[in-house]
Amino acid sequence: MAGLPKRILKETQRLLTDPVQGINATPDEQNARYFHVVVAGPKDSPFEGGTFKLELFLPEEYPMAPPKVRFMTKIYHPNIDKLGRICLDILKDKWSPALQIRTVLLSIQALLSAPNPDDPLANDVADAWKTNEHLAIQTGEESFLYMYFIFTSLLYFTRFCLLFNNFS
Amino acid sequence: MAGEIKRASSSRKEGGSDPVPAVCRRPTTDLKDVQDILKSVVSSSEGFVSRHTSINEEEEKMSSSNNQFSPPPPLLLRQITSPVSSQPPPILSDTDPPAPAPHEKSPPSPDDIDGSRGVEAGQRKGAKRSPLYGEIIVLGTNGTLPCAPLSPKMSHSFVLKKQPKSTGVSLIVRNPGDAESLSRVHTHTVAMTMSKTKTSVMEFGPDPSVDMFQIGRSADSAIDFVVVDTIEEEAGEGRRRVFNSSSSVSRYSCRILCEREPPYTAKLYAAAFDTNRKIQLSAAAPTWSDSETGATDGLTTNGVTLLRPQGVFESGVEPGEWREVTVMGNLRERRPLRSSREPGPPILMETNVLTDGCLIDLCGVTLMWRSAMGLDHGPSNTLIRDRQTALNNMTPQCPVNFMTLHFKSGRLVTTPATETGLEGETLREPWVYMNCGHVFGQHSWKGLKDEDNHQRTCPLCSKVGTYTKLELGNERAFFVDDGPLTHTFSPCGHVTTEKTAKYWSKVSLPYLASQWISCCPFCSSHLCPTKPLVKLFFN
Repeated sequence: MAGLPKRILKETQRLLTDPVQGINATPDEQNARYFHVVVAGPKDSPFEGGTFKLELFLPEEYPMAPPKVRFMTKIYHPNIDKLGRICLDILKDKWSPALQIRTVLLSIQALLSAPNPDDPLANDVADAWKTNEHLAIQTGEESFLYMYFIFTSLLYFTRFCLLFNNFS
Repeated sequence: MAGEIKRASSSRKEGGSDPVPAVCRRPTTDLKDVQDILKSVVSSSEGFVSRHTSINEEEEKMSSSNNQFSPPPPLLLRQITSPVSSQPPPILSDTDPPAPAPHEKSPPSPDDIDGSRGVEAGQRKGAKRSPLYGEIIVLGTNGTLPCAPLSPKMSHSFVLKKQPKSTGVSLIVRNPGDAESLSRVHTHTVAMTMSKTKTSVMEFGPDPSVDMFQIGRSADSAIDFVVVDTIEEEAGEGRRRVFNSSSSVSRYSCRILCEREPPYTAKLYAAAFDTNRKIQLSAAAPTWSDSETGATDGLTTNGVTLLRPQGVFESGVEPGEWREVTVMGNLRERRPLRSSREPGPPILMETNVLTDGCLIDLCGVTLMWRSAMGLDHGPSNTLIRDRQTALNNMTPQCPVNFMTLHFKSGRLVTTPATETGLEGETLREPWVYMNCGHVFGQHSWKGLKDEDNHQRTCPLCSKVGTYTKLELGNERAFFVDDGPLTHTFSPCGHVTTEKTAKYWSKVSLPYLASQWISCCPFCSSHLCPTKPLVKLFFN
């Protein structure tokens, strides 16, 4: 491989010297284009308290093409499928070379706080989410309770998955 | 980044209000020189100096950073502008040392590096130099012609200065009555065809009080400054400017008469004398004679038009109205069609005196007149260079390549030797998305919907616009103020100050027979009618 572009060197340097809170990205010792990422579950979300492992790879065309990112930890989320693939516009058609590793990981962290069930990857999760949300809106005042129910069930399911992951 | 610019301007203001005269900060040897020169001037023209004292005091407050010593009398300032501002035209420079071409990339001379020293050196020499009347700058040039000159008398600018012997002529006899005057070799004559049977002849004789400078497309000896318009031409993959082989500029376009004594009033007249000292208006040119006085006058076929700015040519100036200048120097309203045979109504309240910032349109080429005084008060080359350096010192970064962007300027900014060897020098050239003003380095990324190379999606804000390389505006004569370089002309990408961009976007230049168009003064490309100027946003 040709030498690393100045941009990747600079980004890596900034990620290490000035890390984002709740996100840890370290380049692989063998491959400087491959990053081991750990994202903490955002506060006030069903994923709070969890830590999620991701892998991030910068293709040859980066930054003209988006980085490839995948969840290594199993997660119950309408926009993330069983294989950890993420449905996020900036990783596909909304990619812009002005985005960086840092902004991509921040967007993924935000996706955990605010799932987008209208553009699902895991249909079953999205359906469940939608039905419950629909119910919640119908019941009006009780909606908070329903939301609480959905979030907590999600949270426990995720924790269960985590546990399961750790044991396996 | 904006902070940097603000700081730069505020430090300048501090300099301006500094109670210690700037001259005291000069090294003592230089100070002596300056004092000597000042003394000699004061003794030689005391009355003249004292008349200008109050102006000088104001000037000192306003522009101490322009001239790092207290400004000498206007007489001196006129003399010293030429080495800094432009190369003297070959025809007048027999006795002068040849000035370096402004766009030379060779290492700058010490005078070049330190503008104030250049000014001082000019001042020492200037004591013997003849006073400057002003300078003519061709619109669409940025310190150099866009293509190689065809004649040594062609340049981007022309300095008018007092001639060793007066070269002017003025009217002596109207209708001398004999046809021989036309054939006399040493007489300047103007002949106008009034009707099929009648020709009016006017005889001109030498006038020791004025100097005459002639401008036209002809390269013969009668013309002092040769001008030809340029057109864009396909050249390989890109486009380049070439001289228009079917130019509509007259061979003998116009003449400027400057009074040889202060205040050196300059006046514009249509048509120039040829090598036989004749002006012969074509049969197609509109002519008329005054029914009371019998005075005859006329317009050239394509006309010479004059635009005088409203107020002093500085920050806040507004363009005025275009007027047509006659052969005898009277003003008329513009003809609705450029070469119409019907002259516009006369304008009696205005004169053909050239004031600072006037534009002269010769149907194809537009010239700008800057008086010597106006150039002294306007931003100096040093100041514009400082602004350009300030822009680079902000170290704007490309959000895509993470390269520090760097504005190059052939004549004003030199890249430090340590930086020239860096990889991807072209990646450091600033480019802009014209719709939003976001500045990037050169990159190849295109949005999914971007089909051509011209209209592209900005990576920062997703607005679609043209993606253009930025270039610095260098010609100081076109700057109306010395503010920070924050704006660019659209779509050409010449960077200048906000007020300069606003002024030129308001100036309508005659285009073709009866159209009007705004142009970038640095490259004469037509400005976008909906968004002629764009504010730049650096990362």
